[in-house]
Amino acid sequence: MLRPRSPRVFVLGAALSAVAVVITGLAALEGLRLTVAPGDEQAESQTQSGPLQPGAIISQSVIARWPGLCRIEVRFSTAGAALVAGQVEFRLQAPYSPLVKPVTQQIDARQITDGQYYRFEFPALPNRIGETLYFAITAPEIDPDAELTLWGSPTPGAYALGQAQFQATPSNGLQDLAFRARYCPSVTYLLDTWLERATANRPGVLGQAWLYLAVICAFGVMLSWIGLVIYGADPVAAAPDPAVTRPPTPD
Amino acid sequence: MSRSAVLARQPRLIWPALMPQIGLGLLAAVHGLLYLLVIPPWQAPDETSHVEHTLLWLKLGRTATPADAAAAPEIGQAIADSLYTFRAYEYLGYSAPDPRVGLLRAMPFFGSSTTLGRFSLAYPVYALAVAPFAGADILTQLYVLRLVSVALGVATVLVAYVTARRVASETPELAAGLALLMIFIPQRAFINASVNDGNLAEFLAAVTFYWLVDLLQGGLTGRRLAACAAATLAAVLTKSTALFLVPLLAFCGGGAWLSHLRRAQRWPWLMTAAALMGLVGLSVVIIAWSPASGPALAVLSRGGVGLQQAIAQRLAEEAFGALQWQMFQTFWASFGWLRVNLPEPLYVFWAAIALIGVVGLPLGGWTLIARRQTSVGVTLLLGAAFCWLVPVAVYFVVPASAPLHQGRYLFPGLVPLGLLVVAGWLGLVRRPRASLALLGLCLITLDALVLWGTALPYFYR
Repeated sequence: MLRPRSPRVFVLGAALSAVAVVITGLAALEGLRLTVAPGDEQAESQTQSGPLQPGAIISQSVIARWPGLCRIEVRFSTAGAALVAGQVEFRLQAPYSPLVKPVTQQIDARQITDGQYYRFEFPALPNRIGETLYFAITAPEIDPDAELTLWGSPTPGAYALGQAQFQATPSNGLQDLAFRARYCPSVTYLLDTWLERATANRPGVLGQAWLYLAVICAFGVMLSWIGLVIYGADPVAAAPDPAVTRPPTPD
Repeated sequence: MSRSAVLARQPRLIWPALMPQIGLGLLAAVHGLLYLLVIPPWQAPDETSHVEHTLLWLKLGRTATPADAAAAPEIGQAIADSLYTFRAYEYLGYSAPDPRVGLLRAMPFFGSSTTLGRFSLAYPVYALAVAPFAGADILTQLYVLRLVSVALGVATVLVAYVTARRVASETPELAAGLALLMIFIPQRAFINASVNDGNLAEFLAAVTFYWLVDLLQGGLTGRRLAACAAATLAAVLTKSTALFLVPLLAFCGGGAWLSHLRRAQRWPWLMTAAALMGLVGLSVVIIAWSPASGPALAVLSRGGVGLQQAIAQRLAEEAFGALQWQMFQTFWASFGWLRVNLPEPLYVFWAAIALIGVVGLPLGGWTLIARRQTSVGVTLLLGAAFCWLVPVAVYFVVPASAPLHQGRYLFPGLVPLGLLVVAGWLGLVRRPRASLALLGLCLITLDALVLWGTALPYFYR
């Protein structure tokens, strides 16, 4: 088609196109996720819980606003000291959901950095919108002298959809943990939800989802052309120098 | 030897040579359609007033005034209703007026944006396109007009591509790079997917630039000079941001004329002398003929008398740096009514792209442009275009009277600016295709981050 000068050039062009398509695709997916399921956050961190000693449990209830919960981030405090040894356990469950199975993760306490959020990541859960989930943090084998606590907010309703709970450790007036919840819904869900919003109140064919999908697909197809345009452009086809071929003539 | 004769000697090359243009044209079209669909109605600068003016033009057959808008309230009413339907105020961070305002002119913010009473060639062109849909609802008309804008944007890219091939036919990467740059500047894609008089001005400026290159490369003929003058006049009649073309036309016309007289095309000093001669005559003629002569002359008089003073005034302003940064931001990407700003690192990446182009220009970029026998004139043309865009930046992009500073007013000069930047990129390394690949990927990545990572969450969360 473009008569690339060698198979190598063709391969380079195709590879370049593939990179362009992948970059755009990833950006589109992340953009759709940010648009449709931006996630929850309780960012207030004025108070620290009581210490997470062996036997203590600190939990927080969360109501899922989107399907596909896939990450919980919790903000720890170590009072400025580095933890030396021990395990910290994260458990997530949805006791009223027939589909969501409990998630359990154990991490080495030394991975925790003072004042930073720690990410507990897991495969997207099959939760429904509105379902209540609970995550709990325990430290069954932590050094009893370690000052491992969780940051949170003493303001009632800082996170309006849930509440923190404490067992065998004081709450210190903390109402909600500082946490972030990330959702990874399916591509179908993301597209359906966005298209529903994008086509609302649009006239005629502009209100049809297939038009948007067709244009997105066409853009992907055209991006796959990019590499061939760049690597396949044939310099032999260049127009001749007018100065040589066409001397200026009086009009 | 005529062009057709040359092409006739190379019949097997015609189709392959056209394929990049077809591909880039389709890419520009689909990319424009994507922006057209994603950006909600009325979420582009002055889109409300441009649509209102176009529909009034369609009804009256002439430039509409505020009194005309009052006499035809149904148009303003339909736009006002649509602004409520599409939550236009929410995107701006305001509450919609309550009780409901029935007329566009009476609405806060949107009502203050007006183009009425200002002639532009864009309105009859848009009006002609929307004429078959005269009885349709306002949204259908809006999207028909947006479609015209996308078509103009595609045409501009193609003209830029052809121009770049004329400038450096031995380096097809320059043309491909310019086309990619124009397609993937998010702000340009955004404006070209909305209703705006700047879209026609940009297209006509690109056409003018093509003819100027043709004039310098092919020599002076009446047809070329007429084409240059007609395109310049049309561009100036469309938007005053195209006024920088007038001195360019004088520069090239005078230079080509003197070269023609001397039967030589390699004397740069002749071009410079010709610029001085041609500047006065052609500028006066074109400006005087223009129905927009009032504001245009005002601008020129400011340019002639107070340019130095104006620059000094800008430099003295405390917020000068911030204004320049805002100009830079709004050149690359600032959506909605300039309310959707991006994370600063993205602008830093664009600054790096521009900087690499500037650095690469003396290091090898010039040789790509100046490789031809006829390239002295084109090189001077690019330099002159850059210089003459400075007054555009001073007077239109950062006007003293307006609170908003919009880099998009430089888009009519995008072909020469883009040529310089892309040539700089390609000149940095021995393999221009590798450089072009990197530039293309950078532009595509940034555009994807803007469209999907910023615009989509802003408008549809």
